[in-house]
Amino acid sequence: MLKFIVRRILQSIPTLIGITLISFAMIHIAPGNPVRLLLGNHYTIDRAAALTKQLGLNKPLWDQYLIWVGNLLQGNLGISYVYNEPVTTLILQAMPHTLIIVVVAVVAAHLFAVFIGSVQAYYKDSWFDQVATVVNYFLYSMPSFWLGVLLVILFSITLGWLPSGGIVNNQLANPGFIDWVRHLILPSATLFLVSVAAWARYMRSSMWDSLLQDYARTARMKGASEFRVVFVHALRNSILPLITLFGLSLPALLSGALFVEEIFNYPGMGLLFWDAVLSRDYPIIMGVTIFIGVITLVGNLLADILYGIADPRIQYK
Amino acid sequence: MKLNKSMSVAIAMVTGTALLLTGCGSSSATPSTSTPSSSTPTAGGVINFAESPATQLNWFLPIVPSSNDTVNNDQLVVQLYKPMLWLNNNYSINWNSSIAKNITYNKAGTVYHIFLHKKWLWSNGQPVTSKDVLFSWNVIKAASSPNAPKPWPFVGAGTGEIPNGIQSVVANGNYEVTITLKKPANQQWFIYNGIIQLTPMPAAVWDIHKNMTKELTYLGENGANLMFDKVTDGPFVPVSATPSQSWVIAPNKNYPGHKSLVKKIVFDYEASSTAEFAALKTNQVNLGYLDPSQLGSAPALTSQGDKITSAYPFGIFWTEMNMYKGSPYASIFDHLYVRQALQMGLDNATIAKDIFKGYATPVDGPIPTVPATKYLDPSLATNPYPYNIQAAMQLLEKHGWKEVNGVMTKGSQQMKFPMIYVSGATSSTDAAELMQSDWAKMGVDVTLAGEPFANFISMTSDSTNHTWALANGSGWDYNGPGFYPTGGQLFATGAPSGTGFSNQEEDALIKATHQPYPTEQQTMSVFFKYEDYTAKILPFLWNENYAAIGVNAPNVHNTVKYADAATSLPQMQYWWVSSGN
Repeated sequence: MLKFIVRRILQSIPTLIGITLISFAMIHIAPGNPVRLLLGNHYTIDRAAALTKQLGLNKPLWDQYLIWVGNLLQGNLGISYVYNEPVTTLILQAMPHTLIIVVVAVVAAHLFAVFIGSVQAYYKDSWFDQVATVVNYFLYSMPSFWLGVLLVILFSITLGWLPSGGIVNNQLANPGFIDWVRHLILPSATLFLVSVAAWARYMRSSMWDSLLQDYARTARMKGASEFRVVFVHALRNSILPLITLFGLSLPALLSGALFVEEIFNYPGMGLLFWDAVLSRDYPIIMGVTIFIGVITLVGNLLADILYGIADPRIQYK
Repeated sequence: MKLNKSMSVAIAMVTGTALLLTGCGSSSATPSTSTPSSSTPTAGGVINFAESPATQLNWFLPIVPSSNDTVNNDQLVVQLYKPMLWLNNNYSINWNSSIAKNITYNKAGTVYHIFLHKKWLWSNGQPVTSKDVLFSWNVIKAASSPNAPKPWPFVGAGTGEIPNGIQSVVANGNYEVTITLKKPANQQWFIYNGIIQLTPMPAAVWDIHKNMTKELTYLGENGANLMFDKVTDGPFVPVSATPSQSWVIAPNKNYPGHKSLVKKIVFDYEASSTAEFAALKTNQVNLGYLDPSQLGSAPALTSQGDKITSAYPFGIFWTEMNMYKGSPYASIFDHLYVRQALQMGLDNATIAKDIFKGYATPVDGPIPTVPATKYLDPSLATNPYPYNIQAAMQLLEKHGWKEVNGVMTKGSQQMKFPMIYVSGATSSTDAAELMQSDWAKMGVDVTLAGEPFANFISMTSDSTNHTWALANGSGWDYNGPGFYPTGGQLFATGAPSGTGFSNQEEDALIKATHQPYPTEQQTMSVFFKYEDYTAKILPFLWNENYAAIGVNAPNVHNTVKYADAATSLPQMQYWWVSSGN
């Protein structure tokens, strides 16, 4: 297992280099000049030239890339053009906010998807299955940004139950834990709803296959209760696809958080990245890209490892 | 005078929001309503002030590097530090709210005496003196060098004789500073562009390094940290700052001027105008804004008692013509009659009225009609080139152009122009389409291409880019670092923010506005000549000045009265919140 992990990590290095190369090139080739945006209403050619030099943007692209890689190897992701602060600091400030909504959404979505998908499979073609399928398709086809707006309209504007954005209510003298939790609900719910639909569909299909297997029939013949057949015998095998999805879902959820955080003014990684793209803040764009790249590779590795733990038939070499 | 191309209002169009003075209106002829401020001010309450979309506040010292100079930062910083000169909504100096109580100068325009109010105190109780002004000057001088450490240079370098045109700055006692210039300057110009930049900084607290490079590094490293500003002389002190969330200030108890009554003012980050609208609707923000495209939803806010206001910055908008050297269109646009005809084909009044729902006013020259200032030549009160398609066509035909297959043609030249405009907002797309439609009636064939703001400004500032002929969606506002509204950096030959226009008479008139004159009347006379000529020579096609459309909750007061919208810098210490609404 250890050899497998080491080998996978080593295999990830060229992938990571590829990600940084392509990202760096695309970001710098894309239209829009950070110096022009930074100077804004005080743009002159002299100032632009001075700032371009100051930011190192006057150097050839390959040179800029090598400097960036050199800094990266020393743990330095650079200084943000907009914030004048180290990118690492900004990412570390934003990351906990994103992680909390993503973790809440992932855990809740998995638990919910396992339950709903299992019940759907067990009662296949029942009215419950049909209604759940329609709801799942509806949620699955709905973009997260659209769903987020709908939730704001319903729960913030129409019902007035939950805040529409931010992480605290600034009008309160001492915003506390309850206020913080209230601000987490809608962004987490958005991510939860778009995830649970897909996973429930996987779970339904996987559980249905499991329930038709010989070991399920054998368990029934041995007198096991239906609850035990479904949630003990079939569940462990049915859950394998979701374990794979768990690892793969992390980067997808971080990407999905981009739109959700923009809608909810939620100061996490997604909003940091969104703002950086708008202002062509290259160090942040690259910093977040490499971070998500690493998370993706780690997620894949995690999925493989978890799969092996869950399924004894898998042997790592 | 150094003018700077302002894209801030263009950003507003791109992002779909009204910028700057959110919730703070100016008097105007637009359909605005104002908050009654007759009730007695009461203490308490919190004002949540919405920032324009995706705007980070990222610099909190009154001396600002180029890369951090934004109106949004300024709006917070002027609450912490009194500027040397505060400009009113009509662009006159508000001496009561300025550090200077008076400025005298010689006839030659070389020597200036600044007399400081004795009333201003730092929040630690120490007086604001000449020493603080000299500290600022020394920082400015050093930070203006291209070799200054990051994140400098200072944004005002090169504006208003700073720093190279200044011979000396000396203190004559605790409350008088004398500035001597190397050569004569128009006194009004130097006051509005040079002296205005000398905002005092607390020398006793910040001047801690003998070596100026170390001092600049020290200030530079702390400029993005709001909590570094512990000692202020403005009406507020900092409380907290969280990027992408909020920046909070509270009243300065030692402020010697009008003290704020509110508990705190929160500058709220807004990811988008949609999010900001939701925050207004749910009362998470009580001072915000609307994009023109959101005006249809305004009843959702007014029905809960919110007030809609308008605020006009001292700025102008235009359509640029690609007259850069090498542009295939330059040979057409170089003719004044062509520019005149194109201007007559622009129905700015209809765009203002129908597309921007009255929250815009047509511009006829380099000085806007709203807000009203002394800089607007009364003779320009009527548009020299009013909308008239027939007259425009006749003008072209008089110079040999004929309509062939619906397109004005002269020899091998055709009036077929690609026009880029700033995409992202319905209102800007609608305006561009109306322009296209009107020009088509006179045989000018325009193809439209919407460009994101970042692309737009990259394209129009690149003199080698000939893919566009016309560009709609940018403008200027005269909000610093230089405030005197002449157009050296814009309309003069080779102007860095121009698009290739060149005219010797224009150059001479701009230069004349920088010279000293014995009386203000003569100064204004020269200025009006420049303004009049610029309006008629059409270095750009004039469009409209767009209002920021503000929204304030019914219990928020005095935002309109103390907007000072011309410079987009409100006096927030006069804002207050009533209870029970």
